[in-house]
Order: sequence, then C-alpha cells, then structure tokens
Amino acid sequence: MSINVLLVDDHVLMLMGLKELLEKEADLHVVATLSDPSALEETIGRRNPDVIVLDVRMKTKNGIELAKIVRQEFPDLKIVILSGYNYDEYIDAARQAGTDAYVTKEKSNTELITAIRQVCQGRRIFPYQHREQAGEALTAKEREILRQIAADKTNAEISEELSISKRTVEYHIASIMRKLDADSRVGAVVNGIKKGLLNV
Amino acid sequence: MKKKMIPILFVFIFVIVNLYCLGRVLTDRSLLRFLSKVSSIDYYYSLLFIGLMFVGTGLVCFLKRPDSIVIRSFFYLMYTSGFAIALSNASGLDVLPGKEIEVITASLAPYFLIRFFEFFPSSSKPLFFQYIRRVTLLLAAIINIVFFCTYPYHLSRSPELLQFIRIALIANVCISLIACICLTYLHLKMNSSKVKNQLYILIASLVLSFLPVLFLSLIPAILHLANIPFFFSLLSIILFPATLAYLLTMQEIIDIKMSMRPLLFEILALLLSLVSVNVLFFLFYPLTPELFYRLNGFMLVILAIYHLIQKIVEPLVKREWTSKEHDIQREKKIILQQILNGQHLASCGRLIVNLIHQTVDINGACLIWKKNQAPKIIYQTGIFADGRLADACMQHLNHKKNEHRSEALNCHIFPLDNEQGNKGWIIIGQKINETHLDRNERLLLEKIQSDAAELLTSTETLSGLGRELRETQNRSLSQEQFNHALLIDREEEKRKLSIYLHDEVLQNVILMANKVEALHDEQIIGDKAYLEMKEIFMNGIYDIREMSRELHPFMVEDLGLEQSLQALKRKLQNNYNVVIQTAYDLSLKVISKKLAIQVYRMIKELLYNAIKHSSSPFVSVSLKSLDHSLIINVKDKGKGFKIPASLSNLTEENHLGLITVQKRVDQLGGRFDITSEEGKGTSITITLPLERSDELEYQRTAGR
Repeated sequence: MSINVLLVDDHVLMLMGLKELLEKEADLHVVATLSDPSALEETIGRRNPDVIVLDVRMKTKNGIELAKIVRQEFPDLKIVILSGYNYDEYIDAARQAGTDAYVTKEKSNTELITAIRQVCQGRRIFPYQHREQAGEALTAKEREILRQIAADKTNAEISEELSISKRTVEYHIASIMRKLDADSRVGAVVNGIKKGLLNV
Repeated sequence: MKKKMIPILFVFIFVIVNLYCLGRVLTDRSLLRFLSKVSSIDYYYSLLFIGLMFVGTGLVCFLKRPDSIVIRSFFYLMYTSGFAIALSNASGLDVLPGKEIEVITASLAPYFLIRFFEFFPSSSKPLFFQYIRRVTLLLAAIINIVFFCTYPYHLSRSPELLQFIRIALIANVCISLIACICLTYLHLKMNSSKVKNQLYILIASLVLSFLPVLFLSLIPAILHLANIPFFFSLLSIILFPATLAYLLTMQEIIDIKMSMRPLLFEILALLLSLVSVNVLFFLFYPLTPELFYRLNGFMLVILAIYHLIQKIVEPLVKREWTSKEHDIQREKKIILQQILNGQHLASCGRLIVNLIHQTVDINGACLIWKKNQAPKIIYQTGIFADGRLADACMQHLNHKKNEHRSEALNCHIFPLDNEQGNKGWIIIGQKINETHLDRNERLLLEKIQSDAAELLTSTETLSGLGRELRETQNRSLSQEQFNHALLIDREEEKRKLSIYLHDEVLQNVILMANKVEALHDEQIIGDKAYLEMKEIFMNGIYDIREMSRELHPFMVEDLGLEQSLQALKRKLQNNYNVVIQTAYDLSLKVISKKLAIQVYRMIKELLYNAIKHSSSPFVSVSLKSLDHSLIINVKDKGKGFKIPASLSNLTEENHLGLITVQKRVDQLGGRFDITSEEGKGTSITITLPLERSDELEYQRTAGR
C-alpha cells in the first residue's frame, strides 16, 4: 500500500526537487504539489492525502498557523513540517501546533523520507532537544572549546584557533551547553568546573 | 437644545400618564375599593414615589451632561425602570394605558441596562456582550409583538398570556443581570483598585436591589407560593439608582454633589421666606386652612414666574456679553496674526507717530521707511492722511537729499539714519497754532528721531530673524520627515533583502546540496569530495540563514515576541560570556506584529550594546504592560558611561545603536530614559504607547 503525499512549498524549484525525490521511492506517491497555500484545505479535501509536507515559511502564510488550521479540520492527517530553521523555538511551536514531524531542509533527503514513513506508523519525529542529552560525556573537541570559552575567547577567535568554521563552533557550544545542562556559556563553564573538566 | 427636549418630553409623558392613572384610581369608587382589598392607596403612592425618584435621578444626571453617552444610557435605564415601577399598580388595577406602557418599559429596561454597562466602568467590552444586548432587544421585541398583536382580539388580557409575558420579562432581566455580572467580573480582573472598589459597591447594590424582588415576590408568585407583599421587597430597589448616582459622582463623570449644594440653599431660602411671610401674614389675619393654602400657592406661583422670567432673560443678557467678548477676541486674533506675519513695523510706526502727536501739537505726521531701498509709507495722520501729500514728499525726498525743512512742501523732515545710511524719514506738518518749532520741541523731536531709527531698525532685524527661524524650522521639520522616511525605507529594504536571501538564494543552495547528495548516493561523486562539498554547503547555508535573520526578525512574525526573545537570549548566551535574565509579563495584552518587530529590534540593539560596551557578565531585560503602554527595561551592571547633555552627542562616542533606538522610540511616540553611572552600570527604560489598533485587537481576543 502506498503512502499518498501532498507537498506544499511556495518555492517551485524546491517543490519539483522534492517531488522527484519522493517519486523515486516505491511506497510513496505524490498526489499533488501546491505552491499557493490558500487552496490547501480544498486540495486536501479533494485529493485525500495521508501525509502533507508543509514549508514552515511561505510568502503569504505562516506554516505553523496553517498546520494548526489543518490539524483542526483533518485530525487524522499526518503533518510533516519542513523547515529552514533549526531553532528550538520553531520546533517547540511546531510540536505545540500538533504536527507529527519536524525536518530541517538541509538534512539528508533520506531523513525526510524516513520521517514520512515513520509518521504513517503513528510516531512523532522531532530533532533532539536539550533534556535528552544532559549528562553525556564531552568529546575531546568539545573539552578543548570549553577551555577556550573559559579563557574568555570569542567565537571568532575559537574558530580561528581551531581552524573550524564559526558554524561548527556554535554547534559545538550548543552541544556542550546541552551536555552540561546549562543555558549559557557562563553556566557551562561553572558546571564544567564543578565536574572537574576545567583546571582552575 | 433639541437633545434636552426629548428627555424632558419623556418625563412630561411620565408625569401626565401617572397623573391620569392616579386620577382614575382616586375618582373611581370600585377601583379604590378593589385597591384597598389587594393592598392600599399608600402602597400606590409609594410606588409612584419610587418611580419618580428613578426618573428624576435619570433626568438630573442627563440635564447635567447631555453629551455623555453613559449618562444618556443611564437616563433611559432609569426612565424605563421608573416608569414600569410607577405603573405596576395601575396595570394591576387594569387602568387603561397602565399595562401597555408597563409591558413596553419593563421589556426594554434590561436592554438599556446592558447599554449602560457597555460604557459604564470603561467602554471596552467583550464581543459576547454585544450579542447579549441583541438578545435582550430581541426578547423585548418579541414580548411587545406578542402582546400588541393579540391586543385587537382581547387576548392580551388572558391570564395565560400574561403569565407568559411575565416569565419572558423575568428571563430578560435575568439574562441582562448575568451578563452585567460577567462584565463586571471581567473588569474586576483588569482594572485599577479604585474602579474595583466601585464595582464591588455596584455588585452589592445590584444584588440588594434586585434579589429581594426576584426571590420574595416575583418567583413565589409564579410558583403560586406564599409571597411577601410586593410593597416590602420593592423598597430595596431604591438602592440601585442611588448607588449608580454615587458611582457616577465618584468617577467624576458628573458631580451631583457640587450641583446639589446651590439647589439645597435655594430650597432653604424658599422655605425660610415662605415661613416668614406666613408668620407675618397670620399675625394680622386669622389662620384658616383655606387662607393658608391660598397664600402659599400665590407665593409659589410668583416665585415660579420670577424664575421663569429669569431663565428667559438670562440667555439674552449672556448673548450681548458674548458678542462683545467675541469682538475683542477677533481684534486680538488680528493683532496676533499681524505679528506672526512680521508686521511689527506697522504697529511700531503707529506708536512712534502717536508719541510725536503727544509731544508736539501738530496737524499731521507721516512715517516713511525704506524696505529693500524702496521707500514705503508705514503710518500717516492728519494732513498726510489722504496719501497725496505723503507721496509728494516721498518724490521730493528721493531727489533732494536730507533737509530739515522743506520750504516747498511746508513741513519738517527728520531723516532716519543708521550704519547702512538713510533708511527713511519722519515728516511732520505745521504746528496747529502756526508757530515755529521752538528749541525744546526740536530737541525732543530729534531724540524721538534717533530712537525711532534704532527701534525701526531692530524691529526690521527682528522680523527678519523670525522669518529665518520659521524657515529653518520648516527645513528641519522636512529633514525630520525625510529621516523618518529613510528609516522606514531602510527597514523595508532589509526585509526585502532578507526575504530574497531566504526564499531564493537559500532555497537554491539547499537544492544544490540535495542534488550533490543525490549524486553521491548514485556513486557519481566520491566520498571525500562529497564531504568537503557538504561542509562548504553547510557553512554557506548557515551564513545565509544568519544574515537573513540578522536583516529581518522573521521569528517575531512567525512565533511572536516572547519566543523570539527567548531565542535571542539563547543565542547571545551561546555566543557571548553573558547571562541574560528576561522577565516577560504582558498578561493578556496583544501587541501588533509591526510593533513587536520594532520592540524586538530595539531590545536586540540594546542587548548587543550592553554586551559590547559594558562588559557586564549580567544583563537583565524586562517587558511589561501598564494600562495603555509598554515598558521595556534593559539593565546591565557594567562599566557605565557619562551621558552627554544631548543624546545626539552620542554619535561622537560611537553609540550609534543607542541613537537609532532613541529615534525609533521617538517615531513611535514613546519615551526614552537612560541612566548610567560610571562603574555602576546602565539602565535604559523605554515607554511605548500601545496604539488604538492594538486595543482593538485586544478586545477581539477578549471577546473570543
């Protein structure tokens, strides 16, 4: 039995790319693509898809608001939010809007496909957030970065010193903060000292 | 005038109808007997009194403030309920217009109650209230239609129908009361303690006024239980208008207390004079009731006529006064306008010529002043008044240079000179007694001449300065507007660019990344090359996304202010060695997206500013709403700095961020307060007014 998918994204090229990608899978069938979300409800009623994939930001509509409306009218429909943002706030908002999955766009294509399949089995898929990781051990790189933070270095300085991109630095710091159960760099350093990760 | 006539007419109808009913009851023996069987004539009088008190309270309030919508609703409420109360007995006795008017007024009273509460403590109200208002109006209409449609068939007198109408009326009252209590509860939750206090009093009065009537007589009467006579339970109803009047005075919508005082004195004076006249009169004549009534009636009529005449004459006298006052005002306005138009010169010239006339007895004088080298007559009197002589003088003087006395024209000429050479002349005619100017007079005139030159020169400079000032003001105003437009434009540009980056560039890069991944999956690209490319793509995506976010805070539009501030806090704590404490308390207030974006930008700017300049490890942000304003505070415990006398001097110290924020606050009509002490930290407080549209939005959400 194939899964019927409806794609909604106001970026036509993206829409085409996604369609091509999903059509390669035997068990997925794209019933329609929509670049204008104003006709969404009507299309859902007509095409009766199992899953809709919604872009979080469209020119005229807000994907999360749209998801809320769809959730109210079609409670059994699975909603996957496809987003360019990897911020906790967006993920939380999507979760609260009653969507079933949140996938960031730059993640590998297989992730979206897996998400669609799993959602149809009744699971909810969201990128890991804070709490789940607290207490895990830091990697060597992360310990190095924590030392740099304690030495009062800025992100730019750290990125230069370790010759990694600023994005990676930021990613590592976020990870450090999660693992040390802190919500700021200052807190991370304090907790790091408590745990003996830093020599004072 | 028209506005006041209608309520007075209404009250007039009230009085006439009640007098008629009373007359019918008093003259008709059978009715009287029936009445005394059911209750008593005193009971009827007391009801009339209660009704009159209701209507009277309403009318007094209305006449004081006919324009206030609250008072108008109050009057109608008082009028309908008062009428219904006053006629309840007459309707029970089946006196003709009694029942009909009672049905109309009693059915409409709940509607007016709701109307009144729509505006009473404050005019904000939830949507459901308007629905209930419509429901009560509909119920009232149904009651009236049912009653009057059955009227021609005499069905309206059937006990079943009357029972139905009574139940409908009580239901209507109950609905409106519940709605009012709900609204009051809502107001209690949101308003200040002063209003709260008033509302508590109001609730107590409402309960005390209406509950006894409802529970002691109306409901038992329907259920055919033993009931306490209407008479006793009704007495409590007086509490309601009294409390409302009290509340209206305390809230200073109208002030009954102030207006009652002179009235009280008037009544006292009237009583005193009546008593003294009576005492005097009956010293000489025997005291009989007939004579007593006649005398006092006569006196009252005379006083009434006196008052009436006074009332008629007063506006006439007042009009005369006001018209004169009007003239003076107009003159004042003209003079002010002249000054504004830079015509000081003319008034100055008039003063100088008047001074000359006071000094020397002459048959005329004329003041000529050159404006841009062209001589112009500023002021002229006496023989110069028709202008011909003055013109001739001017012609003559333009050719021949300064002379003290022009033989040909038979007048004295005093040139007015300053550093720039000759600026004009004062021309003086002959003395009235035909003698020459003597030495003293000539000295005085010369003094005036030099003073006049100085005065006129400075006046001219002054008016020039005024003009320049106005021009500069205009220029600066347009500069301000231009700046404003630029700022808006810049924001729009940023937004567009941000959208372009996010929706076009970023999507394409992501698409490319996906393509590369697909190629890798198909083994066209090797592992090493793929990982390298992926890293580059990821960095590119990250950079574009950050830039797009930097340019326009989309998250505020998507998720709202609170979430966005949380994200900002997280990002800053992630990237800088700083702890940010946020306090977000807007309770129910909804902020428009436009304002939210502005607020977000300001807070962001202030936070970056604090982190960059203060090097404080701790920054706190608080956002709260107070009445109709939004208060933002950003505080650090860092270095602090010396605040220059003018905020615009901040540019010199590279505090451009602060100035941008201040400009933004200015445009939003808010206030920007900054306190800073070196070594102790900086605190910036911004107070922004919440716009009307925000208020509306708020009301809509409250009504949901």
